[in-house]
Amino acid sequence: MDAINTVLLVMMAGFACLAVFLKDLVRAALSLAFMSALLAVLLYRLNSPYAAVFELSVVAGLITVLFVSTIALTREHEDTESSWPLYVFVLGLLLFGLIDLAVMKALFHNVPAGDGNVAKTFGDTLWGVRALDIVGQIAVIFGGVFGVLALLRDTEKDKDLKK
Amino acid sequence: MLLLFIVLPLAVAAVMPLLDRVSRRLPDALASLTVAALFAMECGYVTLVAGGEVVYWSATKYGVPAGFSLMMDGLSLLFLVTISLVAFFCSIFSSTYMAPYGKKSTFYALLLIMIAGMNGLVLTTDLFNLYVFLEVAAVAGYALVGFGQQGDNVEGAFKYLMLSVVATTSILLSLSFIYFMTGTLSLPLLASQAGAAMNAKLIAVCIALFLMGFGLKIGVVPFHGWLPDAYPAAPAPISAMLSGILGKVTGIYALLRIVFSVFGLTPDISHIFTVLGVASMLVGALLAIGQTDFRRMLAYSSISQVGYMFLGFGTGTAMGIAAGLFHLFNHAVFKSLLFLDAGSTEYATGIRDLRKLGGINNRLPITGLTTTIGVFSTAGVPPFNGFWSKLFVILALVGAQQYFVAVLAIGASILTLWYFLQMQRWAFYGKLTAGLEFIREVPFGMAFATFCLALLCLAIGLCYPWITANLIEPGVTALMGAKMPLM
Amino acid sequence: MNCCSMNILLLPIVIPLAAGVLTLLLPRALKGVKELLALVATGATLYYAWVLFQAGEDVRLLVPWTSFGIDFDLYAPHFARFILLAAAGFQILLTLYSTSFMSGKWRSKEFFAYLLITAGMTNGAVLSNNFIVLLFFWESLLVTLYGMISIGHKGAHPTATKAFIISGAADFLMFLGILLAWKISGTFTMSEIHLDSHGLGAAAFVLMSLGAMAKAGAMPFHTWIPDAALDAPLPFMAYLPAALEKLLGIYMLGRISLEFFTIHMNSPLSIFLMSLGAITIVFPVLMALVQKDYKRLLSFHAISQVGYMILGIGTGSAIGIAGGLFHMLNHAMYKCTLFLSGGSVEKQTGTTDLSKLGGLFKAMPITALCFWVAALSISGVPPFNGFVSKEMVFHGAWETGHPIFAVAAWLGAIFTFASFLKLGHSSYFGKRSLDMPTQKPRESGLAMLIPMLVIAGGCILFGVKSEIPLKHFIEPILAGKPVVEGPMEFWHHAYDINWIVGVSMGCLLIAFLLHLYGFAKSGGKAHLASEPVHNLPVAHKLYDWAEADVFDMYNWFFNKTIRGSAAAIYVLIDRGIDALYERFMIWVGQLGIGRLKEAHNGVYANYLAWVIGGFVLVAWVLVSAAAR
Repeated sequence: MDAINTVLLVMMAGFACLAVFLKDLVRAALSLAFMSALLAVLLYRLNSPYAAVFELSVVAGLITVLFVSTIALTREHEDTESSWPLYVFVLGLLLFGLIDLAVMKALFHNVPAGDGNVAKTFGDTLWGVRALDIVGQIAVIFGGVFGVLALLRDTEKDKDLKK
Repeated sequence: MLLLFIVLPLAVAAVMPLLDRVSRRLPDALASLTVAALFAMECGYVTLVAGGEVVYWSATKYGVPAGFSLMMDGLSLLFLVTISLVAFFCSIFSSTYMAPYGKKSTFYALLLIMIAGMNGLVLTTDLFNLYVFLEVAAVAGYALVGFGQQGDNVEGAFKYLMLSVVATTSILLSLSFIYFMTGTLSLPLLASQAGAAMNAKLIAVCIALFLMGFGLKIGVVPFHGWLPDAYPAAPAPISAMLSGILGKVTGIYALLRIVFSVFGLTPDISHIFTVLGVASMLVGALLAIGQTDFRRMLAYSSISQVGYMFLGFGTGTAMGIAAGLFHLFNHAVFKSLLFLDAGSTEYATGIRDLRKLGGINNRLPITGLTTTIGVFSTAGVPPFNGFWSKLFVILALVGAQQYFVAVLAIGASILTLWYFLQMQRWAFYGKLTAGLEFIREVPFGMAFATFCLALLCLAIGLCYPWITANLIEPGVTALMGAKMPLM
Repeated sequence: MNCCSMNILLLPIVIPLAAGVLTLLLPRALKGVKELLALVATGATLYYAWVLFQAGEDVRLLVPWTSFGIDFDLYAPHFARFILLAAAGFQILLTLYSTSFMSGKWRSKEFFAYLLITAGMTNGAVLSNNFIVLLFFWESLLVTLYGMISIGHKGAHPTATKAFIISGAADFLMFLGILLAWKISGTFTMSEIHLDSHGLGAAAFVLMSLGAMAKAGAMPFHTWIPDAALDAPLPFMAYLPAALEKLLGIYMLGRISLEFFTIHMNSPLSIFLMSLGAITIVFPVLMALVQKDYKRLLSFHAISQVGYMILGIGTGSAIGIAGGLFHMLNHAMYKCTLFLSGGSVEKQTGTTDLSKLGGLFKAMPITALCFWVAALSISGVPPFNGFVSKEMVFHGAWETGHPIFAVAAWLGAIFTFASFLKLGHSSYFGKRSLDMPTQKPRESGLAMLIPMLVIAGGCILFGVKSEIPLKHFIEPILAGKPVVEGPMEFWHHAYDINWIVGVSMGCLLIAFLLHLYGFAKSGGKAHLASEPVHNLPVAHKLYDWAEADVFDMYNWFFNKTIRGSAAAIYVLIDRGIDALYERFMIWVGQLGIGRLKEAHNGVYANYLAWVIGGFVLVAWVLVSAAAR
């Protein structure tokens, strides 16, 4: 079980890096989508199906679709830039990973676990405590929908073409 | 009725697409009216909150079977007022400016969702709620930045999204650590058990993660990379919203709230604030000097001004925090004024490169005048509002024995004057560029918005004791607990 | 403190400010209203300034404003009341003059608004008793300065910007000085500040006095004034650089060196002030000598004369300080008249180019008369007011035991007189030039003549009856100050014959001979009478450089117009360290900005690398602190 999760995590990190590295925006956006999808799978495997659904619908779905389609619609120029920042990034990432490995394990070693995992039903948690989040989620979905409407509306150019 | 601050803009946003069919002008009017109503409601709370009252709203009390509550203290109110003030003028400005973009109802809907998100963020008492509302504002923000649909607009939006994802991830990670340690994310509970059963090193990591996450949202050096691409890519009123309030609310408000009520401002955090402040102030100002795109210059200038706020917060004294908050409020007014003026210039001439403009001051008298006022205000020239807050930042620095930083802050404000006067020389003065002989002053709505903001710069400058007493000092009290000795 | 006295302190500030704002709002169609409004407002200001002056007791208005010791605090000791009265007098006279001069000019409505707002801000700066309030009024003057120059003509903006930047930089020095003074004394209340001038105190003194002297137009903050003389509307020159800024700057310098700190004779700070004063006397007067434009020539004198005031205050002797302060008042009077006569000539003939003027005495006798009274005053000819104050400064400078400063002051006197002989000769005597744009010039109208006549009359009065101003205005300022030893009866010695007066008279004679020689040498062309000095072997090159703005710090720094080997030699020999520093700074700055810009290349990964780097640093600092 753990091994699969680890593999998923590593793949996620890989796609995340790809999203950063790729200069082509469409591919970068697609890698981002893959990463989100993998995250959703991971969440599902960790017994959080609701979180997985949210992740899949909002991030992997709405936002990536939004960006891939808009970028594809409006591709204009190719960038030719120096590549030295990429090496800096790789170095930085490696450094970060090493520090992370060295520090975090030691940190969590002797932390008393909080009493957060009180047994409650999902419904209790959702409606009793996290009701305001629902308002927020509605707003996020609103935002996503209006965002799609805004970014995928007919441009002025298209209107001229139609005429 | 604090819930209205969140629900009202959301509800209006939901009906926006329907209104488009009824009348073309209705979305304009309704959006501005909604924001004006929010502003009026906030004004009603000013005296109450300035008197030391904290307003609560609890869902269960009103028969709703949900255990969440909203809270408005001095700090929340300061940010609420700032949000509505800037949003109101941006919305008036948009009624004309956004016409060529089409689909204004969608634009207003997104704008209102952004406002709802920010309002929710400053009113909530729960850190996870705070995170969710941060996302609400951010999602609306991505769409608004890319609203122009052109290549560079979408690229700016994409960069904004990509770095924001990093930011939200780090914030979420930090939240999970806190939950892991304490079992709660409620701010009042966290404040009451601050320090208990927490691992010092893990707290340090949490603070670092918060600093990175919110620092990205604010755009403080070195977390500022997305900002000079995103601000110019957005439509001008959205640049004004992003620079004036979105970054400040989602970043500075949340950071201050968490640092002060959960961890307390330790000397180490103070030092980091100061270092980040100095870096932002200088790097932003130096980079602004070299810019030829009006809004890009303003974007760097925003980075620089954020530096001043951080310097104020970094002193940790009541005077410093008052100075930082006051500068935040003033910055929201004068920087949105300048972004709107940049929008007016583009609207009238169709040109963004400052060096291709010239002598337009005589053709665009109102835009020219309001730009000059915005410039004077940013550079800290009296009697405009920027003078007082910059003065207070410097006084606070001297009061906290940070002489060298104070001299740097004065030096940076000379740099500010330098790049702005250079901008004015390029674009507004000198000989009129060939081809611009027939440009006309922008339509009434846009000129009205900029003129009112310019007037506000002057009015705040003249009546600053009223503002500090009723908006700023309650904010300081909310952060520092009881009234502190001021030096 | 009763209600009445409280109002009186506010009125000189609020009346002109309100009138100024009202002027801006007036519709353009209403003719004559803005002039009337301005006259009424400045008249009321003068009245209340007079009432306040008579009030005698020290009045104060204190309104708690913000925390942190920042209160709205107005207070009028004798010194402030005197300056306020003088300023209010100039305000109404200049307003009267402008009603005629500015009529029908471009953007005259804005001019009157700025004039009034400047009056209010100046009065506020004079009356404020809290450093923060002072800074507010003091720096607000920048905005009207910028506005007034920029409405001169359509191309005046670069000059306005230059004036703004230079004055702004000087104000920052002042601000730094105030911060230091606050840090040392712990209060912003000006009347409570009495500091030692050692260590940090000395730094505070230098910074604050630099700010004050820059406001008065001393070197090296002077370079915008000659440019403004050509670009700004003429009443502006008479109003700000000649009158109000001198009053304000020297007032502040006086308070700094008499009240906040105490200048002792021959202390390092005294030498610092005197050196700056001597330099400010000599260099600008040499520039003035060779000018061939009426207004530009006057503008260099407006700088040079500040040197006498600074030198006088810097001596630290009672007679020197009294002379410096008296000279401030006298200077404001005669320089105002001189500029106004220039405006009169410009309005009637259409030019201020000396080669195109000549023989105006017959056509404009009253203007000419006023000019000559003022010119003789500024040159220090008895019995005009300039003579008295200059003699006092000479005495004070001689008392310090450093003859070099007295010599510098005398040198200044020679060239001052020579340049005014040239100016007066070439514009009012001699033959009428054929190049004059208006061939039949007439005398100006009453609105322009009255201010000139009033002030010129004052020049004579204060010269002949110098005990009146000295006794009523100057001496109470010094009363009780530690610099004063023994009774102050300066006026008793005003016309004593001693060798110092002899030297002064000798200087005047040299100047006269110099002028005659130059006049003869140039073949009877008065405007070329200074050419012998201009053409001296070394001087000529220096003059060329000066005209090419080599001496102009602003251009060095901001426009970088220096080029050529001449400049390079000058840099290496004369101002090596200074210039190297500036060049080095610009070079480093450009290098740094270039690197920064390269780093902002729009590559996402690059930005993310900084983010991660920043995070690692922050986390490292915090975690290591937590481990401690």
